[in-house]
Amino acid sequence: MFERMRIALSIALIASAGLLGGATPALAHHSQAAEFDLHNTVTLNGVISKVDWMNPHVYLYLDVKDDKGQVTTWALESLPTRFYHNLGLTKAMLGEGKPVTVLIHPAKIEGKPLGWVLKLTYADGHAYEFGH
Amino acid sequence: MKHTFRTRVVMIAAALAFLCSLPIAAAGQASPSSGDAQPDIQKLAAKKTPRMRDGHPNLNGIWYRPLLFLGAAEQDGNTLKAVNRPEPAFAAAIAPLPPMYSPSYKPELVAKVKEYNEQQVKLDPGFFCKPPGVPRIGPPHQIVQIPGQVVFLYSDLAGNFWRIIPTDGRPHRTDADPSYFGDAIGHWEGDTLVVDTNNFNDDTWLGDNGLFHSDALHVIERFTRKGDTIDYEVTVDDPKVLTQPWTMKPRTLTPLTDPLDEAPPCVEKDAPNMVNLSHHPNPR
Repeated sequence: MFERMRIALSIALIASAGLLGGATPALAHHSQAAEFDLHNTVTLNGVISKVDWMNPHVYLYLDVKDDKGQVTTWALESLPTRFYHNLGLTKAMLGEGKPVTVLIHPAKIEGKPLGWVLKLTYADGHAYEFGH
Repeated sequence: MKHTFRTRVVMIAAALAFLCSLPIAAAGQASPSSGDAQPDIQKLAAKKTPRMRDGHPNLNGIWYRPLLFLGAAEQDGNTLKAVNRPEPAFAAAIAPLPPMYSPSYKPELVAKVKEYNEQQVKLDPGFFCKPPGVPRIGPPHQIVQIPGQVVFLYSDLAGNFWRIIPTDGRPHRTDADPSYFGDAIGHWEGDTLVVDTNNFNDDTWLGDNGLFHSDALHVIERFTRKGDTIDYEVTVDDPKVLTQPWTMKPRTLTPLTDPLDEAPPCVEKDAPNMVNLSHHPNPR
């Protein structure tokens, strides 16, 4: 697994190096590694309070209650809308107001309630998995 | 339709994996849909070329250009999973281009391109959702062809854009401010629509990796309909920064039946959360 990850990262680095020249005109973008800890995952349980259906990344906001009832709203970054569209997923399907379990890569900035969505699992058991 | 949908899912799933810079586990063991990742271009191109009343090829339609990622999606019980379709094709797809397809900058500007490349997540106008301009936006997503003009529509990551290309023989405008998509005029050379665009501002890049340009940018796009395909070729010149015109790697567009959706707003939120300058290409 890690060997494959290294290969993928190497490919990404090679692809970003030098003058690619735009075989496909492209929008430069940060890599997940710039923002998220790709070696760790965190599972959150909460309610999707809002979906920002926007580019370059969809954001889900998840209200997570701690033991004392204190609510923290996590900002969870996800894919561009076009990817959702092509996978047959809509904003409505993400389910504002629904309880959900979310697997994320946490932010590299320690303590920040921010993550990259890997998997969404809903109460009835259906799930969308984007990585791992 | 089925083929088109599958093709798009396949492409998207792999791009997904690439975006995450992670291979998706068990990709090799899974048995995702195994259809061709690319449409059968030869078969589509062999069809009869549709024409307008004036005899020119009919470019109307929603067009899809196959991106270079391969992959697949699968339903695993209750879970919709994106899985990667590795490997040689994927690696080849994102390998650096041969020099013949790379723009050649004046020697005194090479260091600037390198610097811009390294700092692209801070300097690239596209990163901050500015209009990508031409040629970076790629070929049009929908073409509307009527007598005297052709309209290009784009539903892009950065927003919704349009270009109106007069084909009635008029010259370039001289009264317009420079802009992101410039001033375009078109004419036919046989069965090829040639779109000539100038009067750009310098607030776009030609692509990833620091490929800046000046306001002398001049872009020629050529659209040749062959059966149910369009060959899309682009030549870019910018005498202020390039040593010679840059001919981009040609692409072939294939028809889509899905409607063109409105792109939602583009709002960049990542910059404050980034701890380094790492980046990846993000093909359109």
